[in-house]
Amino acid sequence: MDTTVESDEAPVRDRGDTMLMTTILVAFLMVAAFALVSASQAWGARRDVQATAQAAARAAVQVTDAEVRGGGVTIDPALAAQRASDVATASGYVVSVTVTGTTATATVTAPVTYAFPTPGFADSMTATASADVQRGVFAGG
Amino acid sequence: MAFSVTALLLVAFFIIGALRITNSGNDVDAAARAGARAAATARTAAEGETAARTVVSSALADRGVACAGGPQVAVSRSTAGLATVTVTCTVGLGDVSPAGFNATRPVTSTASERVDPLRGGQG
Repeated sequence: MDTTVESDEAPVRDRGDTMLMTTILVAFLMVAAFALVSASQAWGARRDVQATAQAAARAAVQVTDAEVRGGGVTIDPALAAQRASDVATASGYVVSVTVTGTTATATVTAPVTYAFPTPGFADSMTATASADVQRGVFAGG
Repeated sequence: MAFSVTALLLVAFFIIGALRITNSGNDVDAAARAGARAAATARTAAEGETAARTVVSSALADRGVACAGGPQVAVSRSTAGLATVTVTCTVGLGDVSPAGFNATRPVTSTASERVDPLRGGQG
């Protein structure tokens, strides 16, 4: 008479292997999840810094009456830097501004904070945008 | 087997919850920026506030972000000529709470834009 009893449970000798494989798989998935979340945060930070650079460039070329002389516009670099700085510092970022003729270029640098710090992701982001007095932002969009 | 399935389900819940929070944060950032631009180009502070609220709600709806109780929008104009918009969106996480998330989590973002002196100079 056949006395073999079939069971859904894994043989006792295989249970340790299953536990080990599951642990390895979960660890791998967690690392992958951390990387995925960090990538999403880095992408969002990149867009945020780029948008802040554009806003700073726009602010830099919003000239005052004193900068409009004799029918022409002369951007005061100090005033432009101040206007751009007002916008960037409101977001907690650092900006530098260069002025060429009627064009201002703002470069914004911002730190990036990750929920799950993962090796390989940048600690800060930098973006540049240029704006012209008459045309507005034309580069760095 | 039960341990394996439970562990993998918790990991899946964790990934979904974490991505929902970060993606909502990115969407709220974008909505706040759009709101700040709208507020900065309005002629008056009152018009700016109305425009910012409309734009923020529209931006979040376009991106499919559902805020519990609707988005909270705060608009201000400083004497230095900055329009600042702060958006708070409460993200629902009740369905992934087994992974350790609270049922809801507020996501806040602030954006500033310099008021256009030609259009918004009336304060």
